[in-house]
This record gives sequence, C-alpha cells and structure tokens, in this order.
Amino acid sequence: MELDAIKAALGNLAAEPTHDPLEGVLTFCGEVATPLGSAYVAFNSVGVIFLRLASLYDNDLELFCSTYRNQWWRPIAIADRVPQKIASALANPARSKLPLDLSNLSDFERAVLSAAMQIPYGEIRPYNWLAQQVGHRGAARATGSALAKNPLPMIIPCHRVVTAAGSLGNYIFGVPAKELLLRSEDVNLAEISDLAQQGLRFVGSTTTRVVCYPSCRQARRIKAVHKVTFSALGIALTAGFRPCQSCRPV
Amino acid sequence: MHETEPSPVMIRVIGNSSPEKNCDGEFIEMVRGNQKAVFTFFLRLGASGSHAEDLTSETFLRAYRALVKYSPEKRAVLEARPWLITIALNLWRNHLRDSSRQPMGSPLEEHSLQATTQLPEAAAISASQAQELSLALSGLCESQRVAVVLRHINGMPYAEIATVLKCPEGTAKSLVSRGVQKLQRLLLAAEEAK
Repeated sequence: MELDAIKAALGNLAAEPTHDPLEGVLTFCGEVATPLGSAYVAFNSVGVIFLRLASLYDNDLELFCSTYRNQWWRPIAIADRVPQKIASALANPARSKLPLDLSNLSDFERAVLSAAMQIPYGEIRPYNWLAQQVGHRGAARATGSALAKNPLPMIIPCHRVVTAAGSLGNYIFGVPAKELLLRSEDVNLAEISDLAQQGLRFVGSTTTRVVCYPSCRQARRIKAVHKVTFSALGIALTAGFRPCQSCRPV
Repeated sequence: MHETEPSPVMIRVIGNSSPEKNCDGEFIEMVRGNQKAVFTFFLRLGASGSHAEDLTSETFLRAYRALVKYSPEKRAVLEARPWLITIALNLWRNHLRDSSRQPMGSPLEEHSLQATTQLPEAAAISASQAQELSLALSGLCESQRVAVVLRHINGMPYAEIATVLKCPEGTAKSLVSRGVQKLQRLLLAAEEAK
C-alpha cells in the first residue's frame, strides 16, 4: 500500500460511540409526589439516585440541582418530565421495585442500605441488628450515620430502623415523618412502645419456643395466652427459646 | 452508523444560580463536539467497543470534575479537544498499568467487527483492510500510535498532538510520519506472510 492510501484508509477508522456517552455521566431530575409530600428525584438510565423533599430546598428545584452537583460532582439537568415508571413508583415508595443507582456511595454505605432493604414492609429493626447484618457487630452508630445519608429515603426503608431501647430514633425528614410512614405500614407502634417502657424488647411463643422482635409478622400471630416477653435475647435463649428465622433477633 | 442524539428537547440546562460552578451547558456542548474523537481514540488505541464507551464516559466525567474547579476565564480559553484527549490518554495509561497483570486476549477481534459496521459506505475500504490496519496499528509503539491515531484518524492538527504528547510540534510531525512508514512496513510484512 502507498503511504497516501494508508493515510486515506486510516481516515475511515473513525467511529461514533453506539451509546450516548452522556448517559453514563449526566443525571436528570424532576418533581414527584410522595406520601410525605412533594419531592425532588434525581435519576439516570441506570435507576434512581437521590430523593429529597422539596421543602428542604424551599421548593426550588435549581437549589436541589446545585446541592446535588456539589455533593456528587456530577452534571445534572432538569428533565422535561419524570418518567411515568418513576413517578408512579414514588407514590408508594415503600413497595417500589425501582432499579437504584448507588454507585456514588462507599461500600459500607451500600452494604448498610442493602441490609435495610431486607427489612419487610410493616416491621422494624434496631440499629444494632443492621450492624450485625453488615458484619460489624459494634457499629450501630456507624450504620446510623450511613442511614442519615440515605440518598433514597422511603425507597430504601431507613424509617424501619429504630433504637434498640424502643424509641423511634432519628429520621432524615424528622421523627413525625418517620412515625407517619410506620403507621401507614401498620406497624404495631403502640404495643412496641408499651413493651419498651417496661424494658421489654423481645417476645416469644410458649408453643413454638421461638423468640422475635415484637414487630415481626411471626410475633404478631402469637396469641396473648402463649405470649412471653423478654428484656434481652440472652434470657430467652437460656430459657430454651430459639431466635426467629424470619426477623433474626440479635 | 448510529446517530447519537443530542437531546435538547428532552433536557433544560439549569440556569445560572451559581455561575462560577455551573458549567453544565458548556459541558454538554463539549461532550457533543468531542465524543467521536474521544471514542475513536480509545477504540484505535486497542480498547474493545464497549470498553471504549465506558472509558469515553469516564473521560467526560473526569473532565466535568476538573471543569467545575476552573474559573469561567480559564474555561473560556480552554482548548477542549487536546485537553480531553490528554485526560483520555492518562486514563488509557492507567488502564494499561492496572490490567498489565492480566492481559486481555486480543482486543482487536471485537472492534474490528465494529469497524465493518461503522464504515461509511461510499469511502468504503474493505472490512479485511480495516482489520489489517487495526492489527498493524497495534504494532506501533505508544507515542507513534497515539500520534498516528490523532493525526490521520481524528484529523487533529500537529499543534494539538504536540500538546497531548507534551513534545515540540516537530517531534509530533516526525512521530506521525515514522508511524505511518512503520505501518506500511507492517502491512507489507503481513501481506508477505499470507
């Protein structure tokens, strides 16, 4: 081949990417309705990334954008409209099956949030349970910090995580919002707080000899006559009870 | 050939609530104007099609993160293409270093296939010719390969190539010309081997 022919042939080797390179880089956002009111959601082609109540940003979507930009260092643009799939899922976020993009988070944060996703609808778990699930027994406070930064509250149910002592603990949108969400999931809050006031954190069944967290769906089936309560898991275990395989108390 | 859709209909770029930090509009323009050059650069340096796309996105993300730290004055005088290609080259070198322990087979098979689908029909060189060229390109040393890809595939001026390779313009010229001569020898050798 002549040199000129080679040069000409080289010129034909340029190519356009098959996928839009911005897809992996640019985030979109828009306003949606949630059980806690109007909210802003950031999403990309992978899934939803970030969700916050609009009131936190004085109902200013651009303020939300600049916060997002400064926090993750990624470009963001306002979408003409939020995809229907996302909008309808966020009307009932506790049951949403939306794909999530958690790539902005650290491994520990991702592990904590994934464990929180495992808490069933209508049940609650203490922070130390979450720490146990991610393999850091003593790291209850660290899991609390990871939850405090939950980029997708309501979708990732950090509201289902409460203190071991039985109080509701904190919530990114305030404790009243946490209580509202738990009530809407029909969690037996009154019973749990009654027990907590007496220092009781576990319930067992004398028929099955199984011990649970009081919100566990197995525990809620126990009839009053068969129900026993414990202040600590160790006491239940010594008394011959085994931990429930559904709520896995620690 | 696939048309990447710039989607101005779909998005509204955010207004200037904090102009010193907000460069999203400029950024999107920069991506649109340079995505072909960056993608081609990775592809012809030897990345597979999908890998080249990932690297292209990564290049733009890094560019964005650098851009938000620049002042508007600095952004105004920035020469986007050589700047982006410099980021891309660093990324490529990092990638080679990281994967040096587990070399990926021949990266040529996948994208030579791509080359055949993406060639403009009129100026067509045959698929096998494109493959031979890709193969010959992999026989060049890094600086020659970069220089040849930037000059004859991306059509960049020597001044920009010199910026990317951090060398005088004359050196860039000689890298390109020696690169092409070596390509000729490699193609000839391949011909004779057949």
